[in-house]
Amino acid sequence: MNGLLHRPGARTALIAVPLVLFAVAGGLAPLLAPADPGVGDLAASLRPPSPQHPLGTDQLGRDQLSRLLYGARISMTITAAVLAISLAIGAVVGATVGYLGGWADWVVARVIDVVVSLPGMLVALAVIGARGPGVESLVLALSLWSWAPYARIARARVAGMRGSPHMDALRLLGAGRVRIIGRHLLPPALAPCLVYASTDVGTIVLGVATLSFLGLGVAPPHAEWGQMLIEGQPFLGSAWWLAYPPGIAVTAVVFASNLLGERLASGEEAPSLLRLAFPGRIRRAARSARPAVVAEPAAVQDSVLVVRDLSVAYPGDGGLRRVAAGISYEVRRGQVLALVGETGSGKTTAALAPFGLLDPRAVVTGSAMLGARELVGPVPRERRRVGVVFQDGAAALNPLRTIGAHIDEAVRNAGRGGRRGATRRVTEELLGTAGLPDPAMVAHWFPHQLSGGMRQRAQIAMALAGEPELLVADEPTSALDVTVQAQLLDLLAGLRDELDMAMVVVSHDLAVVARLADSVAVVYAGRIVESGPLETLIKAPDHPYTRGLLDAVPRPGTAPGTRFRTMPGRSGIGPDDTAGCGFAPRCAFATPACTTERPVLEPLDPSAAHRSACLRHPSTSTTTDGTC
Amino acid sequence: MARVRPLAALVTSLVLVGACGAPAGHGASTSPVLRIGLGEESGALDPHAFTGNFLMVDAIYEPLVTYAAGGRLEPGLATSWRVAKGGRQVTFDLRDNVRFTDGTPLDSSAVKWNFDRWVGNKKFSFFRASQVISAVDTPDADTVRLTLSEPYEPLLQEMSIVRPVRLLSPKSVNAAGGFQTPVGTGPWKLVSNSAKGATLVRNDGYWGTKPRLQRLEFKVIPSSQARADALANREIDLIGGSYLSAITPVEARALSKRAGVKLLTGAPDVSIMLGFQPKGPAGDKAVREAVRQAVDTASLSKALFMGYAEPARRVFPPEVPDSGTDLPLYYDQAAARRTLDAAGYTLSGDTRVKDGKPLSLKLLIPSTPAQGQLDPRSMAAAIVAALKQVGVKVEIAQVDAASYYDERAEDNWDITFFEGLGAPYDPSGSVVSMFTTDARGPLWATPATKAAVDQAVFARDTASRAAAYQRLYTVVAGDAGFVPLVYRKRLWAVRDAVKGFAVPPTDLDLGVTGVTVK
Amino acid sequence: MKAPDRLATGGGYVARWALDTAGVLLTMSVGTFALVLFARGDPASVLAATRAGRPATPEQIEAVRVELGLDAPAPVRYARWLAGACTGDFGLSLRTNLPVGSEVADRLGVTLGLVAGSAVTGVVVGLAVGVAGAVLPRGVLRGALRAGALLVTSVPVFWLSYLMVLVFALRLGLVPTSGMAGPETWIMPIAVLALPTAGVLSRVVAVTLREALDKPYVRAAQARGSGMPSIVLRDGLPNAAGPILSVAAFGIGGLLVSTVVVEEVFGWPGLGSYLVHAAGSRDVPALQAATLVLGGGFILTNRCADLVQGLIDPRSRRRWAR
Repeated sequence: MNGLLHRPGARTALIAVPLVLFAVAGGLAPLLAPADPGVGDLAASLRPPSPQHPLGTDQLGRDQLSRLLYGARISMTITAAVLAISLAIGAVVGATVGYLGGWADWVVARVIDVVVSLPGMLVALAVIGARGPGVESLVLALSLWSWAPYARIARARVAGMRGSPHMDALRLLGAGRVRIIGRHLLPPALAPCLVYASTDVGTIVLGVATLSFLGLGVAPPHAEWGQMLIEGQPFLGSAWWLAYPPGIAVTAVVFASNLLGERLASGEEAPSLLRLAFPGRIRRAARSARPAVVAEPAAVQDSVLVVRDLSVAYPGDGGLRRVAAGISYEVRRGQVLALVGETGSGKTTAALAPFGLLDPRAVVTGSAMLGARELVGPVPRERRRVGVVFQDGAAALNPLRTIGAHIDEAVRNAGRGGRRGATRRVTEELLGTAGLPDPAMVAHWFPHQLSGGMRQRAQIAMALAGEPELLVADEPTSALDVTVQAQLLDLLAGLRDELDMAMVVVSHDLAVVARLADSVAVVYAGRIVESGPLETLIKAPDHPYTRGLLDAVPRPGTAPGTRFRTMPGRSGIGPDDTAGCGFAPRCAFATPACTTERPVLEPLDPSAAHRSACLRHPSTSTTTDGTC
Repeated sequence: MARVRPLAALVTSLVLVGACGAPAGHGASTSPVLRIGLGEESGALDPHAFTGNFLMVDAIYEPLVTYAAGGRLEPGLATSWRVAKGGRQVTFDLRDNVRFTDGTPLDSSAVKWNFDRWVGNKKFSFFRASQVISAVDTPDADTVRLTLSEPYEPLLQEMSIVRPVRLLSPKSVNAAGGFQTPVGTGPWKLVSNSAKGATLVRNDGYWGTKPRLQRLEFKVIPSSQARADALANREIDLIGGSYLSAITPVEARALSKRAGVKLLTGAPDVSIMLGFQPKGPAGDKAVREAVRQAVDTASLSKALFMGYAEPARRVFPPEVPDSGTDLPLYYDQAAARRTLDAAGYTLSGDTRVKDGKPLSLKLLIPSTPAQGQLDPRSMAAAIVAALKQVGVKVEIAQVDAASYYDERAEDNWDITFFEGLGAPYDPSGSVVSMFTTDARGPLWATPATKAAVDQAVFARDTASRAAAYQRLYTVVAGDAGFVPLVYRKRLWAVRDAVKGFAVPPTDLDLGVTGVTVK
Repeated sequence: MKAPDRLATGGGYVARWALDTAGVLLTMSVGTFALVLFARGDPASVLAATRAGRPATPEQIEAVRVELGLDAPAPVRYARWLAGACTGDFGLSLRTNLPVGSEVADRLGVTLGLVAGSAVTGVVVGLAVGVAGAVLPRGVLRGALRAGALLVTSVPVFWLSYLMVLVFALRLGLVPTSGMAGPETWIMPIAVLALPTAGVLSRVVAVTLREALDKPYVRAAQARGSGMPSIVLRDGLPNAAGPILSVAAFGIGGLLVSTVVVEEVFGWPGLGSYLVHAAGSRDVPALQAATLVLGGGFILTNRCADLVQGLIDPRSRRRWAR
């Protein structure tokens, strides 16, 4: 039972229970009600609950439970009528104009704008005020404004599909407009409309009750909930069975509808920010589950960052699921380490995990020493000694703040700021260092006004604000064209030399790496499969995966038109998804042992600089060399 | 403002822990102010229009003749009157030394000026006196003489009503004769009047018994429940009366149990009735009789009116002059079923059918209660339930209050509620509109009832008048032309601190002259 | 290197906004005027009856019809009505025979005061609860806040008012039951109005803020060493401001309408109760005036939110600069 409650589907179903009860009560009221809701025994006026009248009787001696059930029937009927009308009109109108476009679309869009921007209750009041009360007036009044959101949703949905190749194909096949709209556009447009309808149920039920309160709703003797609430008001202090059940019923239905709508609209709950806000508490919890770490030899003296046996896991359906395991690497002053792998291989995770820059749910174990400080654990991390450049500059910059404001903040965070003017001078200097022309002007621009390359330079400027010992760059050039890419790589290389900084560069592109890196670690399925000096790795790759990566790089000298090879199979598996080598399913050298035995990183040369995790070690065994 | 506000009281009680937190007033000292709940903002207090609140008009303006309990007429601004020329002439002697609050003396020319504003005016045609008076003369400054086109016995009683006969200072209008400020001779003067309420102060120059209070503060609270709550919460001192701030029976019951509040009941002045539209199914006398037999008026007055009503047995309650003799209590559902069976309405499922047509009646009600009337919706629900038990289907048709009377004048309804006007208008004020064929939406009108009304209204002596009224009631009852439902008691409530208040003779009066507030 | 686009800044944007808003207001005025065409029954007959104090004769009705200009064709009447409305002249109330314009003006102040009080309270409470909902750990407190926020938006406002009057006025005697006088009479109506506003707002704040805090630039801000309060204030809230602003504006506009119920419950002589009485008595001129003022206020509130949003977020200006 407990487990059931934790399944999202089961929870949603649980939330819908009041709505289901509402529908059942409404649909089956004549069967369920113990008595006629309209007829009472005046002699049995205001009786408290009893077996005969489970919810007591009202002033006229009518059975309150029956009235409540019939009230559900009325609310449900009106809600259904309003929803049917507004869904039908809204979806058809929206889909039609969305497909047709042109002036009809413009006019209808304006009308929808106006109707949506009107408060529904006001429209209802005005219409009923002009027409007089009654069920038809009520349905008309409520439909008159509730169709518009559906039309808007359907219109947006259809407008998005209008230009799709699928539609072109249909048109080429000679399908008529009516058929296209009716058969191909309406059904997909209806889905989001139905999600919206789940919230609308609550709005309508509440609206009907409120209009009844104002004397403009359903006429007695029909037992409408709002009407019952008004009749019950004088009895709030004396006859609770009249005053509370209808109110609870309305509230429960509206509550369920709101909650359901919210759930359906947002999908799963957004990840909690809890760990962002309280990193310490989570880490502590994570540490208790930390496995014993086999200490590796002490790092070389001038290492800036030493990562040992780092693992990252995310909570999932069946507990924690690891996405990176046993990651160990180190970076020395003035050196660039490249973490290379395909998309989803875990290279970014391996690079950012030491600094707590992952999704807040991530559980990080292992060790990462920045100088003499341990980064993994409950101690507050000293982030400013590390600069980070993210992959997508557009996303990594707050669109509402100027470039200058971002860097000013970083400068102040680093304790380098002073007065406003002094801070800005440092900022401009940093922008200049990052190679941005006219830093004073650029500082006043918003991120969306910069080109991709400039945004990356701005990020670099920001990263340099803390005078970091280490710069982590996550795919710094992936979204840029080749020329800009080259300029940026030159900038990074220049900075390394000038500032004698250590860098970790994450990339899927060995060509980028080749230009910048001193050493390389190849990541596959959340583990490092090969590492070593750049030269060695490029010239004598050992691991079949590294070879595959190299093969995928177009090399100077290949004849134009030669298709460089891509590896078969899919990437994106986790470190624990297979018992043996993660690459075995895609590997041309794989033996049966590869799928059962997990290879470990083994040194390939006496200095142990070059290591590879492969049972076959193709570079040392001079047997079949694949099919280069 | 000499009262401790509840919030202030809270603060005080928080400061003085353990101190009495009750928002009490000033011990035994009396307050010069009476705070009165008002159901609806009063419009312009012009006695010759229909906009002002009855009780405020009554407090500011006075008539020549006043209506006392039991329908007695007593001297008002006229100290005496004489009827002459076979009832065609009435002469009033005005009270001496009375001035309007703006200093204008009340003399015959002022009275004539007032009468000229409404005599012969079409706007007041419902009010027979305005049509019957043919001349207003002023033989001297203290005497006003009315000449009538025909003898009209109810004239003197009509001289006591609230509008339009009350006297306004001739100086309180603009050059075009348009009403400007409310200035009368009454015990109270208006200080302010807004959507939030009104304030009246004592007229220290009043010729009669001066009120003991200095100020009346009317507070507009539209919801009757909120008014009852406010009284219980000591925010106001007085509520009640059909035209001031009606109390529903449920609220009355709750107030009667509440400490610190006194509920006062007055003899009923109206009866609530069910009337028929003869052009539909209710044209069949058997249907009317069955409806009359189906409604359990005794239980209705107990359950719906919580005992603050009695089953009605006349068109007007016994306290109204010339209300005739009691009719029997008709309730007998078995008899109702027999009546319908005999008339050929056979039960088919829940509803009776005759000639293939189901017996269904449309009950017309206003969607919100008219001023001074009970919420018609619960009454309607009770009628629906009662008639359902004898196989008559009733559909409630709600129309907004504004067009209710228009709709009642049309034909597309079968049953609806009627009430008299109450004292001092009844019976003469209501019988014409209820029982004559040329009235708009009458209760029950046939040539026979019209004849009886004419005889009653123009009767020259009390005995023949009483006989004519009795004839009228007998004819209507014989036709099963209406269903007497209940006499509604007049309900008022005051805080215990209010001393000397008694339910006024009519719900149009504000009898606070002897009232004090502790 | 391109210069920041000029078209999306300053005057052009505001002008575009004003034009669009005027269009919406005008369309709404057409709908409001159309109420008189919809109306069951004849306004002339109702007004004639009000004046006469009883059902009017056909001649009286005809005279009123001519006086009100109801004999002209609809477009002409609309033009006259709109011209009158612009100068505050909405004709005579069918119920009281008084000028609707001055009646509305008298009552507008009451409603605006109520709306202002509840708007401030609602926004402050909504923001506070919303931020708490975004940064609090998943647990009892967060769950309670969330459930409470949803609950107050699900209870019928009038019933909530009854319950609060029962508890706080009648049982505890802390506040008056109804009426509008001293500051203590404002507490309950404002609380009743502010609660649902705060409820809706807090949900939106919690969700959008949490989303905004998941953005890469928040991680980037962490990477450059900014603390949580600074991130919420500088990166979270401003980026969540769009939805928050529109929902806040929608909620505040919605307050204009909720006053209908609350003024009725607490007996406040505001525009809301005026509208209800106009609707209850089919007083069409009053109905039109109240609808136009309340609806116009609602639309303007929302449009101003759009305007402000555009000024905060330069990207969203493009929407108006088509």
